[in-house]
Amino acid sequence: MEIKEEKLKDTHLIQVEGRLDAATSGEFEKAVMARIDEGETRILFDLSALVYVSSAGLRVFLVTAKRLTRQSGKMALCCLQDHVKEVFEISGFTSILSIFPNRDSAVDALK
Amino acid sequence: VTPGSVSIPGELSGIQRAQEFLQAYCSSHGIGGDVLNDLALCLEEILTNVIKYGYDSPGPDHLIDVRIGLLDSELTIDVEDDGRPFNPLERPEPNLDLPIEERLIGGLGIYLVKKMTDGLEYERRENRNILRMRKRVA
Repeated sequence: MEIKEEKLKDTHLIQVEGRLDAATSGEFEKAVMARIDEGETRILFDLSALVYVSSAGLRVFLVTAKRLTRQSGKMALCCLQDHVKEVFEISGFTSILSIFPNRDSAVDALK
Repeated sequence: VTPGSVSIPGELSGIQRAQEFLQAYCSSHGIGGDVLNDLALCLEEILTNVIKYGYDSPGPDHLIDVRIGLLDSELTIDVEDDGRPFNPLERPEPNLDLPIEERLIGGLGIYLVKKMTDGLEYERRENRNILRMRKRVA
């Protein structure tokens, strides 16, 4: 698992690459929570290079969404690979999270 | 077809070894793509449950046996552990209709396993949990 971050105007972009599983999700959660602690309220997750996610990874997205909702922030995801999308769909996450096919549409939605 | 097995320590770091074993088994039998991804996920979810909830103290003192077999285009994965009795089939299903604020993450792993496999069987035998997952691979 690797994390790359970028500023897109008011949006904090987090690109998470590789695998989000029981072994790596803790580190990912720490990194994301640190950004919210620092005051980021608009977070976009680019999952174009995420090849695998398990419930441990899903948990981090849910925790982040809950926290940002409480703080009147916004969160979006984009560019899910097919298998990752399947896991989100089965879990019912596609109906509670904002998911976009590409970065531009996600950034627009976060404005 | 030749079955294979591996024993991993009862701690989260053992999961990767089990998944590598699964991957090697599958590639030697021409199984890949989404089927392999589904199987890897199911294996992780079951092992995570055993390690997190099955033991008072997870660690290498516990061993989890993973056995894989293939017969008539159906792959089976047996996970056998010496943790406390736990039948994942009895876990209540998560409520997927709740809004973000009320959604719980608990139970989601087992739910994914139920949805991604074609059969799940649980047995408690001689103080061990044995869970069998079945999935059609062709």
